[in-house]
Amino acid sequence: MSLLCADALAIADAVGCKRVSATEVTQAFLDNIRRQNSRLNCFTSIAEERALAEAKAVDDAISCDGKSGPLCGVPYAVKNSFDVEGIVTLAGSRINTELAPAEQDADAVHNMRRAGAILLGTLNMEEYAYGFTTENAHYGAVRNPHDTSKIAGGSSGGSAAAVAGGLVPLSLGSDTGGSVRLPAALCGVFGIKPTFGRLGRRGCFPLAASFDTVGAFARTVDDLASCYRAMLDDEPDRQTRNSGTEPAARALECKTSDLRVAIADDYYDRYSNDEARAAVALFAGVLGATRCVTIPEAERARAAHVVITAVEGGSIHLSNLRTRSHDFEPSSRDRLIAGAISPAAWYLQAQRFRRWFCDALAQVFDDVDVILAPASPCPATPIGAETMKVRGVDLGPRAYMGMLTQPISLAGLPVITVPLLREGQMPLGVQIIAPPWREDVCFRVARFLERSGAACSRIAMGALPEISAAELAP
Amino acid sequence: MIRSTIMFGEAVIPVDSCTGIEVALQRLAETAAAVMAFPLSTDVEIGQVFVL
Repeated sequence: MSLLCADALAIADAVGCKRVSATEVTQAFLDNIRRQNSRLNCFTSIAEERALAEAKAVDDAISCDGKSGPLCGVPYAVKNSFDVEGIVTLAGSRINTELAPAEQDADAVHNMRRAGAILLGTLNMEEYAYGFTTENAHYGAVRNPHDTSKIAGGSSGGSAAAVAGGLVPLSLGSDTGGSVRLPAALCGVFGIKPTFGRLGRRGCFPLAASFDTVGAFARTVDDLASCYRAMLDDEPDRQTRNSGTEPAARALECKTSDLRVAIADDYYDRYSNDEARAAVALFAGVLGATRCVTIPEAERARAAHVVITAVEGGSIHLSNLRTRSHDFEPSSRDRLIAGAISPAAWYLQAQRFRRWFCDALAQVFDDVDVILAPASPCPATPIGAETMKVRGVDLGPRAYMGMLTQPISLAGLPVITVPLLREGQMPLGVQIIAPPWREDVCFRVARFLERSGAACSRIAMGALPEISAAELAP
Repeated sequence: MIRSTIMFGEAVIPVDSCTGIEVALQRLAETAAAVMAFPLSTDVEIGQVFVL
Protein backbone atom coordinates (compact mmCIF):
# COMPACT_ATOMS: atom_id res chain seq x y z
CA MET A 1 0.00 0.00 0.00
CA SER A 2 1.19 3.51 -0.73
CA LEU A 3 2.71 5.42 2.16
CA LEU A 4 0.23 8.17 1.47
CA CYS A 5 -2.69 5.85 2.20
CA ALA A 6 -1.22 4.40 5.39
CA ASP A 7 -2.67 5.30 8.75
CA ALA A 8 -0.54 6.98 11.40
CA LEU A 9 0.28 3.92 13.48
CA ALA A 10 1.28 1.91 10.39
CA ILE A 11 3.71 4.69 9.49
CA ALA A 12 5.08 4.83 13.04
CA ASP A 13 5.59 1.07 12.99
CA ALA A 14 7.35 1.17 9.62
CA VAL A 15 9.62 4.00 10.72
CA GLY A 16 10.32 2.45 14.13
CA CYS A 17 11.27 -0.85 12.47
CA LYS A 18 13.42 0.97 9.87
CA ARG A 19 11.39 -0.31 6.91
CA VAL A 20 11.23 3.28 5.79
CA SER A 21 12.90 6.40 7.12
CA ALA A 22 11.04 9.35 8.61
CA THR A 23 12.77 11.50 6.00
CA GLU A 24 11.37 9.40 3.14
CA VAL A 25 7.88 9.56 4.65
CA THR A 26 8.11 13.29 5.16
CA GLN A 27 9.35 13.94 1.64
CA ALA A 28 6.57 11.82 0.14
CA PHE A 29 3.88 13.71 2.04
CA LEU A 30 5.41 17.11 1.27
CA ASP A 31 5.45 16.23 -2.44
CA ASN A 32 1.83 15.14 -2.28
CA ILE A 33 0.77 18.32 -0.51
CA ARG A 34 2.33 20.34 -3.32
CA ARG A 35 0.36 18.34 -5.86
CA GLN A 36 -2.97 18.34 -4.03
CA ASN A 37 -3.24 21.46 -1.95
CA SER A 38 -4.39 23.80 -4.69
CA ARG A 39 -7.45 21.58 -5.19
CA LEU A 40 -8.46 21.47 -1.52
CA ASN A 41 -6.93 24.72 -0.18
CA CYS A 42 -6.06 23.18 3.20
CA PHE A 43 -2.54 24.47 3.88
CA THR A 44 -1.71 28.13 4.46
CA SER A 45 1.97 27.40 5.10
CA ILE A 46 4.20 24.41 4.47
CA ALA A 47 7.01 23.98 6.99
CA GLU A 48 9.36 22.02 4.74
CA GLU A 49 12.63 22.96 6.40
CA ARG A 50 11.34 22.23 9.88
CA ALA A 51 9.67 19.00 8.79
CA LEU A 52 12.83 17.61 7.23
CA ALA A 53 14.85 18.63 10.29
CA GLU A 54 12.37 16.90 12.62
CA ALA A 55 12.41 13.82 10.41
CA LYS A 56 16.21 13.70 10.45
CA ALA A 57 16.17 13.96 14.25
CA VAL A 58 13.77 11.01 14.44
CA ASP A 59 15.90 8.96 12.04
CA ASP A 60 19.07 9.81 13.97
CA ALA A 61 17.49 8.82 17.29
CA ILE A 62 16.36 5.47 15.88
CA SER A 63 19.78 4.82 14.33
CA CYS A 64 21.72 5.78 17.46
CA ASP A 65 19.83 4.06 20.22
CA GLY A 66 16.69 2.58 18.68
CA LYS A 67 14.50 5.03 20.56
CA SER A 68 11.29 6.06 18.90
CA GLY A 69 8.17 7.82 20.12
CA PRO A 70 4.66 6.42 19.66
CA LEU A 71 4.13 8.67 16.62
CA CYS A 72 7.67 8.51 15.26
CA GLY A 73 7.84 9.78 11.72
CA VAL A 74 4.08 10.41 11.48
CA PRO A 75 3.29 13.54 9.45
CA TYR A 76 0.67 15.87 10.81
CA ALA A 77 -0.44 19.49 10.50
CA VAL A 78 -2.17 22.04 12.72
CA LYS A 79 -4.92 24.62 12.38
CA ASN A 80 -3.22 27.97 11.88
CA SER A 81 -4.45 29.19 15.26
CA PHE A 82 -1.72 27.08 16.92
CA ASP A 83 1.62 28.74 17.59
CA VAL A 84 4.40 27.19 15.55
CA GLU A 85 7.86 28.59 16.17
CA GLY A 86 8.91 30.79 13.26
CA ILE A 87 5.45 30.98 11.67
CA VAL A 88 2.92 33.80 12.10
CA THR A 89 -0.20 32.56 13.92
CA LEU A 90 -2.80 33.73 11.41
CA ALA A 91 -5.92 32.40 13.13
CA GLY A 92 -7.52 32.72 9.72
CA SER A 93 -7.27 36.51 9.75
CA ARG A 94 -5.68 39.24 7.68
CA ILE A 95 -4.97 41.31 10.79
CA ASN A 96 -2.66 38.70 12.30
CA THR A 97 -0.33 38.78 9.28
CA GLU A 98 1.18 41.85 10.96
CA LEU A 99 2.17 39.87 14.04
CA ALA A 100 5.70 38.61 14.57
CA PRO A 101 6.27 34.89 14.02
CA ALA A 102 5.63 32.76 17.09
CA GLU A 103 8.67 32.39 19.32
CA GLN A 104 7.78 28.92 20.53
CA ASP A 105 5.42 26.07 19.78
CA ALA A 106 2.01 25.71 21.36
CA ASP A 107 1.86 23.05 24.07
CA ALA A 108 0.00 20.66 21.79
CA VAL A 109 2.64 21.02 19.06
CA HIS A 110 5.40 20.56 21.62
CA ASN A 111 3.78 17.36 22.86
CA MET A 112 3.34 15.98 19.35
CA ARG A 113 7.01 16.61 18.63
CA ARG A 114 7.91 14.80 21.86
CA ALA A 115 5.96 11.80 20.55
CA GLY A 116 8.02 11.83 17.35
CA ALA A 117 5.41 13.32 15.01
CA ILE A 118 6.57 15.51 12.11
CA LEU A 119 4.86 18.88 11.61
CA LEU A 120 4.31 19.59 7.90
CA GLY A 121 2.57 22.96 8.13
CA THR A 122 -0.40 25.01 9.20
CA LEU A 123 -3.98 24.77 7.97
CA ASN A 124 -6.73 27.06 6.76
CA MET A 125 -9.60 27.89 9.09
CA GLU A 126 -12.50 30.23 9.67
CA GLU A 127 -11.41 33.76 10.58
CA TYR A 128 -10.74 33.72 14.34
CA ALA A 129 -12.53 30.36 14.44
CA TYR A 130 -15.88 32.15 14.38
CA GLY A 131 -18.03 30.14 11.99
CA PHE A 132 -18.90 26.67 10.75
CA THR A 133 -18.09 26.63 7.03
CA THR A 134 -14.42 27.71 6.52
CA GLU A 135 -15.32 29.94 3.59
CA ASN A 136 -12.47 32.24 4.51
CA ALA A 137 -12.62 35.58 2.68
CA HIS A 138 -8.86 36.13 3.01
CA TYR A 139 -7.46 32.68 2.21
CA GLY A 140 -10.29 31.10 0.22
CA ALA A 141 -12.72 28.34 1.07
CA VAL A 142 -11.48 24.93 2.13
CA ARG A 143 -12.94 22.35 -0.24
CA ASN A 144 -14.45 19.08 0.91
CA PRO A 145 -12.36 16.18 -0.51
CA HIS A 146 -15.53 14.12 -1.07
CA ASP A 147 -16.93 16.83 -3.37
CA THR A 148 -14.84 19.92 -3.93
CA SER A 149 -17.93 22.03 -4.62
CA LYS A 150 -19.02 21.54 -1.01
CA ILE A 151 -17.86 23.08 2.27
CA ALA A 152 -15.55 21.19 4.62
CA GLY A 153 -17.26 22.58 7.71
CA GLY A 154 -15.52 24.69 10.29
CA SER A 155 -13.91 26.26 11.93
CA SER A 156 -11.15 23.63 11.68
CA GLY A 157 -12.06 22.96 8.05
CA GLY A 158 -8.48 22.69 6.80
CA SER A 159 -7.66 20.17 9.52
CA ALA A 160 -10.54 17.85 8.63
CA ALA A 161 -10.11 18.16 4.87
CA ALA A 162 -6.36 17.51 5.07
CA VAL A 163 -7.00 14.16 6.78
CA ALA A 164 -9.95 13.22 4.54
CA GLY A 165 -7.92 14.17 1.47
CA GLY A 166 -4.90 12.11 2.48
CA LEU A 167 -2.56 15.09 2.85
CA VAL A 168 -1.77 13.98 6.43
CA PRO A 169 -2.94 11.05 8.55
CA LEU A 170 -3.39 13.26 11.64
CA SER A 171 -4.20 16.89 12.29
CA LEU A 172 -4.97 19.15 15.22
CA GLY A 173 -7.81 21.62 15.53
CA SER A 174 -9.78 23.41 18.19
CA ASP A 175 -13.42 23.22 19.18
CA THR A 176 -15.34 26.08 20.79
CA GLY A 177 -18.84 25.19 19.65
CA GLY A 178 -18.31 22.29 17.26
CA SER A 179 -15.23 23.29 15.28
CA VAL A 180 -13.72 19.79 15.43
CA ARG A 181 -16.90 17.70 15.54
CA LEU A 182 -18.64 19.40 12.66
CA PRO A 183 -15.87 19.36 10.01
CA ALA A 184 -15.04 15.79 11.06
CA ALA A 185 -18.63 14.84 10.25
CA LEU A 186 -18.84 16.71 6.96
CA CYS A 187 -15.48 15.36 5.75
CA GLY A 188 -16.04 11.79 6.97
CA VAL A 189 -13.22 11.43 9.51
CA PHE A 190 -13.02 10.76 13.25
CA GLY A 191 -12.68 13.82 15.47
CA ILE A 192 -12.30 14.29 19.21
CA LYS A 193 -13.27 17.20 21.39
CA PRO A 194 -12.02 16.28 24.87
CA THR A 195 -13.53 17.50 28.12
CA PHE A 196 -13.15 21.25 28.53
CA GLY A 197 -9.87 21.75 30.40
CA ARG A 198 -8.43 18.31 29.63
CA LEU A 199 -5.67 19.50 27.27
CA GLY A 200 -3.41 22.49 27.69
CA ARG A 201 -4.18 25.29 25.25
CA ARG A 202 -1.21 27.56 25.75
CA GLY A 203 -0.18 28.91 22.38
CA CYS A 204 -3.62 28.54 20.80
CA PHE A 205 -5.25 31.74 19.58
CA PRO A 206 -8.51 32.06 21.54
CA LEU A 207 -12.10 32.56 20.44
CA ALA A 208 -13.98 32.11 23.74
CA ALA A 209 -12.05 31.13 26.85
CA SER A 210 -15.11 29.52 28.40
CA PHE A 211 -15.21 26.84 25.70
CA ASP A 212 -11.98 26.66 23.66
CA THR A 213 -10.73 23.07 23.59
CA VAL A 214 -7.86 21.49 21.65
CA GLY A 215 -8.90 18.49 19.53
CA ALA A 216 -7.72 16.17 16.79
CA PHE A 217 -8.69 14.38 13.56
CA ALA A 218 -7.76 10.94 12.19
CA ARG A 219 -9.04 8.22 9.86
CA THR A 220 -8.95 5.45 12.48
CA VAL A 221 -9.88 5.30 16.16
CA ASP A 222 -6.45 3.92 17.07
CA ASP A 223 -4.78 6.87 15.36
CA LEU A 224 -7.11 9.29 17.12
CA ALA A 225 -6.39 7.71 20.51
CA SER A 226 -2.63 7.80 19.90
CA CYS A 227 -2.76 11.45 18.92
CA TYR A 228 -4.91 12.26 21.94
CA ARG A 229 -2.55 10.46 24.29
CA ALA A 230 0.41 12.26 22.76
CA MET A 231 -1.18 15.63 23.55
CA LEU A 232 -1.78 14.88 27.23
CA ASP A 233 0.60 16.78 29.46
CA ASP A 234 2.86 15.01 31.91
CA GLU A 235 2.71 17.99 34.19
CA PRO A 236 -0.69 19.56 33.77
CA ASP A 237 -1.00 23.17 34.74
CA ARG A 238 -4.03 24.49 36.51
CA GLN A 239 -6.05 24.65 33.30
CA THR A 240 -5.70 20.96 32.63
CA ARG A 241 -6.79 17.87 34.42
CA ASN A 242 -5.30 14.53 33.59
CA SER A 243 -6.12 12.80 36.83
CA GLY A 244 -8.91 10.29 36.92
CA THR A 245 -9.76 7.92 34.16
CA GLU A 246 -7.05 6.62 31.86
CA PRO A 247 -8.42 8.11 28.68
CA ALA A 248 -7.80 5.72 25.88
CA ALA A 249 -5.33 2.89 26.27
CA ARG A 250 -7.35 0.29 28.14
CA ALA A 251 -10.63 1.57 26.79
CA LEU A 252 -9.88 0.33 23.30
CA GLU A 253 -9.79 -3.26 24.53
CA CYS A 254 -13.21 -3.08 26.18
CA LYS A 255 -16.66 -4.06 24.93
CA THR A 256 -19.70 -1.83 25.03
CA SER A 257 -22.32 -4.29 26.27
CA ASP A 258 -22.13 -2.85 29.78
CA LEU A 259 -22.78 0.69 28.58
CA ARG A 260 -26.21 2.28 28.73
CA VAL A 261 -26.51 4.02 25.37
CA ALA A 262 -29.34 6.45 24.59
CA ILE A 263 -30.35 8.55 21.60
CA ALA A 264 -30.87 12.29 21.99
CA ASP A 265 -34.43 13.28 21.04
CA ASP A 266 -36.54 16.46 21.20
CA TYR A 267 -34.28 19.33 20.05
CA TYR A 268 -32.08 16.87 18.16
CA ASP A 269 -35.10 15.53 16.28
CA ARG A 270 -36.45 18.97 15.52
CA TYR A 271 -33.23 20.31 14.06
CA SER A 272 -31.88 17.40 12.03
CA ASN A 273 -32.95 16.16 8.62
CA ASP A 274 -34.04 12.60 7.91
CA GLU A 275 -30.60 11.45 6.77
CA ALA A 276 -28.88 12.80 9.90
CA ARG A 277 -31.39 11.00 12.11
CA ALA A 278 -30.98 7.85 10.02
CA ALA A 279 -27.22 7.93 10.68
CA VAL A 280 -27.86 8.01 14.42
CA ALA A 281 -30.41 5.21 14.11
CA LEU A 282 -27.92 3.07 12.21
CA PHE A 283 -25.22 3.38 14.86
CA ALA A 284 -27.79 2.97 17.65
CA GLY A 285 -28.89 -0.29 16.05
CA VAL A 286 -25.33 -1.59 15.97
CA LEU A 287 -24.99 -0.72 19.65
CA GLY A 288 -28.37 -2.25 20.51
CA ALA A 289 -29.62 1.09 21.79
CA THR A 290 -33.34 1.74 21.64
CA ARG A 291 -33.79 4.16 24.47
CA CYS A 292 -34.18 7.91 23.91
CA VAL A 293 -33.14 10.66 26.28
CA THR A 294 -33.92 14.36 26.31
CA ILE A 295 -31.07 16.79 26.83
CA PRO A 296 -32.91 19.36 28.94
CA GLU A 297 -33.23 22.87 27.54
CA ALA A 298 -30.89 22.08 24.65
CA GLU A 299 -32.18 24.95 22.52
CA ARG A 300 -31.63 27.40 25.35
CA ALA A 301 -28.21 25.88 25.90
CA ARG A 302 -27.33 26.72 22.32
CA ALA A 303 -28.57 30.26 22.91
CA ALA A 304 -26.40 30.62 26.01
CA HIS A 305 -23.41 29.32 24.07
CA VAL A 306 -24.01 31.85 21.30
CA VAL A 307 -24.20 34.74 23.78
CA ILE A 308 -21.07 33.76 25.71
CA THR A 309 -19.06 33.17 22.54
CA ALA A 310 -20.10 36.48 21.01
CA VAL A 311 -19.28 38.46 24.14
CA GLU A 312 -15.95 36.77 24.85
CA GLY A 313 -14.95 36.95 21.18
CA GLY A 314 -15.95 40.60 20.98
CA SER A 315 -13.91 41.30 24.09
CA ILE A 316 -10.76 39.69 22.69
CA HIS A 317 -10.95 41.72 19.48
CA LEU A 318 -12.27 44.96 20.96
CA SER A 319 -9.17 46.97 20.19
CA ASN A 320 -9.05 45.98 16.53
CA LEU A 321 -12.81 46.37 16.19
CA ARG A 322 -12.41 49.94 17.37
CA THR A 323 -9.55 50.88 15.09
CA ARG A 324 -9.72 48.69 11.98
CA SER A 325 -13.04 46.88 11.73
CA HIS A 326 -12.77 46.94 7.92
CA ASP A 327 -9.97 44.36 8.14
CA PHE A 328 -12.30 41.73 9.59
CA GLU A 329 -14.49 39.52 7.45
CA PRO A 330 -17.87 41.27 7.39
CA SER A 331 -19.74 38.30 8.84
CA SER A 332 -17.49 37.75 11.82
CA ARG A 333 -17.00 41.51 12.31
CA ASP A 334 -20.71 42.15 12.65
CA ARG A 335 -21.22 39.33 15.12
CA LEU A 336 -18.15 40.28 17.15
CA ILE A 337 -19.28 43.90 17.38
CA ALA A 338 -22.72 42.75 18.46
CA GLY A 339 -21.08 40.69 21.19
CA ALA A 340 -18.84 43.55 22.25
CA ILE A 341 -21.73 45.93 22.84
CA SER A 342 -24.05 43.43 24.52
CA PRO A 343 -25.38 44.14 28.01
CA ALA A 344 -23.39 42.44 30.76
CA ALA A 345 -26.63 40.98 32.09
CA TRP A 346 -26.94 38.75 29.02
CA TYR A 347 -23.50 37.29 29.57
CA LEU A 348 -23.94 36.77 33.29
CA GLN A 349 -27.30 35.09 32.87
CA ALA A 350 -25.83 32.83 30.16
CA GLN A 351 -23.01 31.79 32.47
CA ARG A 352 -25.39 31.14 35.33
CA PHE A 353 -27.58 29.09 32.98
CA ARG A 354 -24.46 27.16 32.06
CA ARG A 355 -24.12 26.09 35.69
CA TRP A 356 -27.73 24.95 35.74
CA PHE A 357 -27.28 23.07 32.47
CA CYS A 358 -24.17 21.22 33.69
CA ASP A 359 -26.07 20.07 36.76
CA ALA A 360 -29.08 19.00 34.68
CA LEU A 361 -26.86 16.96 32.37
CA ALA A 362 -25.16 15.32 35.33
CA GLN A 363 -28.59 14.01 36.32
CA VAL A 364 -29.12 12.67 32.81
CA PHE A 365 -25.85 10.79 33.10
CA ASP A 366 -27.07 9.12 36.29
CA ASP A 367 -29.21 6.96 34.02
CA VAL A 368 -27.13 6.68 30.83
CA ASP A 369 -23.44 6.33 30.03
CA VAL A 370 -23.43 7.55 26.44
CA ILE A 371 -25.66 9.79 24.35
CA LEU A 372 -25.77 9.57 20.55
CA ALA A 373 -26.71 12.68 18.58
CA PRO A 374 -26.24 13.90 15.02
CA ALA A 375 -23.21 16.13 14.57
CA SER A 376 -24.84 18.28 11.91
CA PRO A 377 -28.41 18.94 10.80
CA CYS A 378 -27.57 17.86 7.24
CA PRO A 379 -24.58 16.93 5.02
CA ALA A 380 -22.13 19.49 3.64
CA THR A 381 -23.75 22.33 1.72
CA PRO A 382 -22.41 23.90 -1.52
CA ILE A 383 -19.67 26.49 -1.07
CA GLY A 384 -21.34 29.90 -1.23
CA ALA A 385 -24.78 28.68 -0.19
CA GLU A 386 -26.52 31.30 1.93
CA THR A 387 -29.03 28.89 3.40
CA MET A 388 -29.58 25.24 4.17
CA LYS A 389 -32.96 23.67 4.66
CA VAL A 390 -33.42 21.94 8.01
CA ARG A 391 -36.82 20.26 8.23
CA GLY A 392 -38.29 22.86 5.93
CA VAL A 393 -36.70 25.89 7.61
CA ASP A 394 -34.00 27.98 5.88
CA LEU A 395 -30.98 28.59 8.11
CA GLY A 396 -27.53 30.08 7.39
CA PRO A 397 -24.84 27.35 7.43
CA ARG A 398 -22.11 29.61 8.78
CA ALA A 399 -23.95 30.21 12.06
CA TYR A 400 -26.34 27.27 12.26
CA MET A 401 -24.44 24.25 10.95
CA GLY A 402 -23.13 23.82 14.51
CA MET A 403 -26.49 24.07 16.24
CA LEU A 404 -26.31 20.42 17.36
CA THR A 405 -22.78 20.67 18.73
CA GLN A 406 -23.08 23.99 20.59
CA PRO A 407 -25.31 22.74 23.46
CA ILE A 408 -22.75 20.05 24.31
CA SER A 409 -19.98 22.65 24.39
CA LEU A 410 -21.90 24.61 27.00
CA ALA A 411 -21.48 21.65 29.34
CA GLY A 412 -17.87 20.99 28.32
CA LEU A 413 -18.52 17.30 27.70
CA PRO A 414 -16.11 15.01 25.82
CA VAL A 415 -17.29 13.93 22.37
CA ILE A 416 -15.95 11.85 19.51
CA THR A 417 -17.53 12.34 16.11
CA VAL A 418 -17.83 9.00 14.33
CA PRO A 419 -18.14 9.20 10.53
CA LEU A 420 -20.65 7.48 8.30
CA LEU A 421 -19.53 7.18 4.68
CA ARG A 422 -22.41 6.75 2.25
CA GLU A 423 -22.07 5.48 -1.31
CA GLY A 424 -22.71 8.32 -3.73
CA GLN A 425 -23.62 10.75 -0.96
CA MET A 426 -21.76 13.11 1.29
CA PRO A 427 -20.56 11.82 4.68
CA LEU A 428 -22.35 12.39 7.95
CA GLY A 429 -21.19 12.14 11.54
CA VAL A 430 -22.65 11.11 14.88
CA GLN A 431 -21.61 12.57 18.21
CA ILE A 432 -20.65 10.05 20.90
CA ILE A 433 -21.19 12.10 24.07
CA ALA A 434 -19.97 11.03 27.52
CA PRO A 435 -19.88 12.56 31.02
CA PRO A 436 -17.02 14.93 31.94
CA TRP A 437 -13.55 13.32 31.93
CA ARG A 438 -14.85 10.07 30.37
CA GLU A 439 -13.09 10.21 27.01
CA ASP A 440 -12.47 6.50 27.54
CA VAL A 441 -16.19 5.84 27.06
CA CYS A 442 -16.21 7.79 23.81
CA PHE A 443 -13.27 5.74 22.56
CA ARG A 444 -14.91 2.45 23.52
CA VAL A 445 -18.04 3.23 21.53
CA ALA A 446 -16.14 4.67 18.57
CA ARG A 447 -13.88 1.62 18.41
CA PHE A 448 -16.89 -0.74 18.61
CA LEU A 449 -18.63 1.04 15.74
CA GLU A 450 -15.44 0.98 13.69
CA ARG A 451 -14.83 -2.73 14.30
CA SER A 452 -18.45 -3.52 13.45
CA GLY A 453 -17.87 -1.95 10.04
CA ALA A 454 -20.70 0.54 10.51
CA ALA A 455 -18.32 3.46 10.92
CA CYS A 456 -15.21 3.98 8.85
CA SER A 457 -13.15 6.66 7.26
CA ARG A 458 -10.95 6.56 4.20
CA ILE A 459 -9.20 8.92 1.87
CA ALA A 460 -11.81 10.51 -0.36
CA MET A 461 -11.99 9.20 -3.91
CA GLY A 462 -10.34 11.67 -6.22
CA ALA A 463 -8.11 13.08 -3.52
CA LEU A 464 -5.23 10.89 -4.72
CA PRO A 465 -6.02 10.51 -8.43
CA GLU A 466 -2.94 8.48 -9.23
CA ILE A 467 -3.94 5.74 -6.80
CA SER A 468 -6.51 3.11 -7.72
CA ALA A 469 -9.75 2.55 -5.84
CA ALA A 470 -8.55 -0.87 -4.71
CA GLU A 471 -5.61 0.70 -2.92
CA LEU A 472 -7.88 3.08 -1.09
CA ALA A 473 -10.00 0.32 0.42
CA PRO A 474 -9.64 0.24 4.21
CA MET B 1 -31.18 52.65 16.22
CA ILE B 2 -27.52 52.21 15.40
CA ARG B 3 -26.05 55.03 13.36
CA SER B 4 -23.01 55.13 11.13
CA THR B 5 -20.64 54.86 14.04
CA ILE B 6 -20.77 52.69 17.09
CA MET B 7 -19.59 53.99 20.42
CA PHE B 8 -17.29 51.95 22.60
CA GLY B 9 -16.71 54.07 25.64
CA GLU B 10 -14.61 56.96 24.36
CA ALA B 11 -13.80 55.30 21.05
CA VAL B 12 -15.78 55.05 17.86
CA ILE B 13 -15.99 52.28 15.31
CA PRO B 14 -16.34 53.74 11.84
CA VAL B 15 -18.24 51.41 9.54
CA ASP B 16 -19.45 51.78 5.95
CA SER B 17 -22.82 50.33 6.75
CA CYS B 18 -24.45 49.32 9.97
CA THR B 19 -26.94 47.00 8.33
CA GLY B 20 -24.98 43.87 9.09
CA ILE B 21 -24.33 44.95 12.65
CA GLU B 22 -27.98 45.77 13.20
CA VAL B 23 -28.96 42.34 11.96
CA ALA B 24 -26.31 40.64 14.09
CA LEU B 25 -27.32 42.59 17.17
CA GLN B 26 -31.00 41.92 16.59
CA ARG B 27 -30.32 38.19 16.28
CA LEU B 28 -28.14 38.19 19.37
CA ALA B 29 -30.82 40.06 21.31
CA GLU B 30 -33.43 37.50 20.29
CA THR B 31 -31.07 34.70 21.28
CA ALA B 32 -30.26 36.31 24.62
CA ALA B 33 -33.95 36.82 25.32
CA ALA B 34 -34.40 33.05 25.50
CA VAL B 35 -31.64 32.82 28.10
CA MET B 36 -32.88 35.80 30.08
CA ALA B 37 -36.37 34.28 30.26
CA PHE B 38 -35.12 31.19 32.05
CA PRO B 39 -35.88 31.29 35.77
CA LEU B 40 -32.74 30.62 37.80
CA SER B 41 -32.46 30.34 41.53
CA THR B 42 -30.19 32.85 43.21
CA ASP B 43 -28.27 29.81 44.44
CA VAL B 44 -26.80 29.45 40.95
CA GLU B 45 -23.63 31.50 41.10
CA ILE B 46 -21.37 32.45 38.25
CA GLY B 47 -18.33 31.39 40.25
CA GLN B 48 -19.47 27.78 39.98
CA VAL B 49 -19.57 27.57 36.21
CA PHE B 50 -16.13 26.10 35.68
CA VAL B 51 -16.73 23.14 37.98
CA LEU B 52 -17.54 20.19 35.73
